[in-house]
Amino acid sequence: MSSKLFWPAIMLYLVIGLYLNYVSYSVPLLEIKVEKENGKWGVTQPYYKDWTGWRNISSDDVILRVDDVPMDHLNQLKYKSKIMAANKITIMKPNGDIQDIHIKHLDIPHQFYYIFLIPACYYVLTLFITFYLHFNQKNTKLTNLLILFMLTVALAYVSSGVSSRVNGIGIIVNRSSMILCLVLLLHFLRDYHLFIKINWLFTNNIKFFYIFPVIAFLLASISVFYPTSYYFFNDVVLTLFFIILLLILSILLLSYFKYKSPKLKILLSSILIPFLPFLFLYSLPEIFFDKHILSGETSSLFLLLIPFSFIFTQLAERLFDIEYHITRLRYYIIFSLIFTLWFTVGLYWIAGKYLTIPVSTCVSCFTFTSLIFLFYIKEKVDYRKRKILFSTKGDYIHQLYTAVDRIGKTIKINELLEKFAHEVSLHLELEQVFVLTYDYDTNQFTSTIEGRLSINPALIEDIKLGEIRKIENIYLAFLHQDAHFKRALVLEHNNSIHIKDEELLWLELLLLYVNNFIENTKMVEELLEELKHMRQADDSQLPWLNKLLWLRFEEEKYQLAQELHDTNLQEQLHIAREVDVLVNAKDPADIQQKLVKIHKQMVVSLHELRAYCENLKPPLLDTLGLNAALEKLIRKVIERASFELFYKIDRLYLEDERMNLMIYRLFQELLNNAMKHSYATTVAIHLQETGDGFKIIYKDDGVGCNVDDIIVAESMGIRGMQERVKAFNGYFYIDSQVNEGMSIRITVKEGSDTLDYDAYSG
Amino acid sequence: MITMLIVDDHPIVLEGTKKLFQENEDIIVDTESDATHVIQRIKNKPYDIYLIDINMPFENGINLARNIKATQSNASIILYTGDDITDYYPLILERKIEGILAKTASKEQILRTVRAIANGEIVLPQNFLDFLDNRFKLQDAKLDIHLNEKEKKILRLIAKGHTNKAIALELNIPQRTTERYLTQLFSLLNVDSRTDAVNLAERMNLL
Repeated sequence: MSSKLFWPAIMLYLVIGLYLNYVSYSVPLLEIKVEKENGKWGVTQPYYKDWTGWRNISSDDVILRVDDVPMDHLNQLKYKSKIMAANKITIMKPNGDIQDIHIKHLDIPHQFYYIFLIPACYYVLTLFITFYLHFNQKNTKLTNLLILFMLTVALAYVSSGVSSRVNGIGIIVNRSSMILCLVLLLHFLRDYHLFIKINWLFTNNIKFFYIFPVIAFLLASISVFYPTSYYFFNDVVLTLFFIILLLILSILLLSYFKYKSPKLKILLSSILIPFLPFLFLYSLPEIFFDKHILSGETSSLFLLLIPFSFIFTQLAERLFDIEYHITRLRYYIIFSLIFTLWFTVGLYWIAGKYLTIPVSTCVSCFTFTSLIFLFYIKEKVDYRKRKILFSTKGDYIHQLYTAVDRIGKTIKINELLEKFAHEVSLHLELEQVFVLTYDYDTNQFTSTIEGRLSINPALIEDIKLGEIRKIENIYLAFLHQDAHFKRALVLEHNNSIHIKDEELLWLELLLLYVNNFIENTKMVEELLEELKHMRQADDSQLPWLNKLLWLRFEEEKYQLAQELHDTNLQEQLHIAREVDVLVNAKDPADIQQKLVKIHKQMVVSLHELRAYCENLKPPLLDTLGLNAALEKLIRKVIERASFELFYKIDRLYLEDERMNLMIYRLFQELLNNAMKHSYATTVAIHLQETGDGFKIIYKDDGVGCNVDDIIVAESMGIRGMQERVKAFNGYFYIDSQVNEGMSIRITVKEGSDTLDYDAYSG
Repeated sequence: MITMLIVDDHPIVLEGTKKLFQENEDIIVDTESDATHVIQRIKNKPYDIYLIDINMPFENGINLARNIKATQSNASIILYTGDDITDYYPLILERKIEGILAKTASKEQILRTVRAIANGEIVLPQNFLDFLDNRFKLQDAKLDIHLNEKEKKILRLIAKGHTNKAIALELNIPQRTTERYLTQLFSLLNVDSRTDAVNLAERMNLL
């Protein structure tokens, strides 16, 4: 069925529809039962009891003419003994007065609404929707069938009022469209099954069924020309109608129970649910209680929803979207219904005697609809303002959680982007999801998948942080931006897509997370790079340091050797010579005396050597401890120095035993400096225990110096001391002015990470 | 009869020192070059006198002296050192050693010292008196010992009966360091045991 059929169908629809509506409008429907008694027409019973004109007519009156047509010639009476429609009825009262009763539509509002106004509205509405479908949706066969179906239903509905006026065209249109709409529905369902790839359980030869509308058309035409056959043919058509209807329902039920597809479930419910009001509010109460809750006209209005529910299934191509809306609506309805019941019971209990049933019913209905509206409004507000969404499943949070978990395991940005696109594609069921990257340096676009780009990549430049924009058939979402790159996520689908609020929120959150994650991943990458760099630098630094240390040690050894050579070695050589002389001496008399002399020399030499050793390796430090060693050092200084030395040495308890050597060296250095350079009269030195380390406080009243000079000049070993203290994470403060003496304060804390002393000392 | 063990890590010194006693039959001399073997060795065969070098690589002479005294309370110990012997005079006062000899001392000095100590006497150079003078001066100055906070804390922990391990945990330091602290503290208080340290501290109201 091609779209060429569209305009002819619309034209036909317009012509027939306008005519039918005109008929419907021109004459109000009355349905007054009349009976011919003694050649005179009398009124028995009107169909519409609320007709105000009824007051003017009594059972004794004789109806002469309807719309100036004598009763005996009235066409309507050929079918039923009813005056179906009339603008004017001429009656004769028993006293012989002839009276014209004019009937206007609004005299009988009930018939006006149900027979004219609502069908007319439905007619116009269908027209609009048809146009909308035609111009906004792709002209698939399904849509065309749906359009035809809707048009037929509208015609059937409009013609129903006209056909009860026993208007020939009305009858024909009504009967044939009744059957045609079902056949079209059958056809639509067959194609829909094909579309959603579910096996069609019934015959594929739908064309055959188009015979039935033709039959209905023929039968109706015959009944127009031969009114006596009217009722029979009418029954035939109705039977046909119900047979086809049952057929459709049973096909749907069967295939639903066979395939359990949610799409079929919706289809089925969209057909069945509109029947429910008719069944429960009209037919069943009528059968069991002889009373109806809703009039037949009103409850059958719901049947007209069927075509619209199909539109739903067509507008959004993916049916589970509808399921989402339906579950949400069901959720809201249940809540509203429970509350409404509660409210109504309460209302009735409190104010039951003041309220009539209709008022209570209206209040309940109002409450119910208001609540449903309230829920929808709340949902919108929540989404806009607080990013909270209604969810019937709570699945989204879980999905987000697992998606984040999966993405979070990557450590490289490209891998991350691919995984992210994959997750989105999986979750939103879109085939084409990829990340588009714009490189500012090279002005080039790259994407995570190979192949065509269906959008103009330049669009990426416009979107801002956190934005998800729909451009034609794709969604473009901002992902991340830095100095070099701008990244965006592109979502596309073969057909047009529509992402629900819930999914959008999911996507937004995920985008936010990925944005942060890229930022962090970049940082990690940079840090790793830096570490690698540092390690390389370290590797290159160590040989240099080793070389330096080696050179320093060699230098030190050289110096020691030189010193020993110049002093002790010479003495030992001298002693050896003396002994050699004695060995070869002829005169033994002097030997004893000379040996005593040599022994003395040797002891002196030994003492010197010992002093030398003591200088290299401080005595007592290992054996008697720091305090004994320092006391000894100080004793020696006091023996030799020209200044008065005040000292105080606290007992220290240091965790690092090697610290003792450092303290000893510092004392040695400070006191040597004092002896060599200070020219002081008094020197004070204090080793003070602190909470987590120690302090050395030195003060003299000597000549002092310019601090900057001595540090630069590297004399007095100040710099060496400074370096040593620094190596132990300590602080070295020196304060001195020329002729103002010198004060030095050294603080070292233990517990803070000390540099590896082994490396320092070699 | 005097039995004596000489401990020194230098074989030449060991040999030379042993030679000094060759002519004296009343003195029987054994030698040991590894200080760490000594304790195991004397458990089987104790000696009267131990002549010990101070500077030895694995265990210094002072530690060894303490360990020997702990194993064999009647042992007499003479330190034999190339260092300045005056530095070690305090050890004599603390009864950690019985005598001290410089390695430059003459054969006669050495024999005299060994024999005297074997007889329960001590032989000391004259400058020991200088040391004593100084010592008493200093002793006067710090007649009442002021313990610092760390020392008080350690003493209190000892008084509570904490083991070294517990003290180490309490002070958050290695156990070896704790042992060093205790040694230092005991030597300050001039005591040999934890009980003595606590008693002394209580007696002198140090805590």
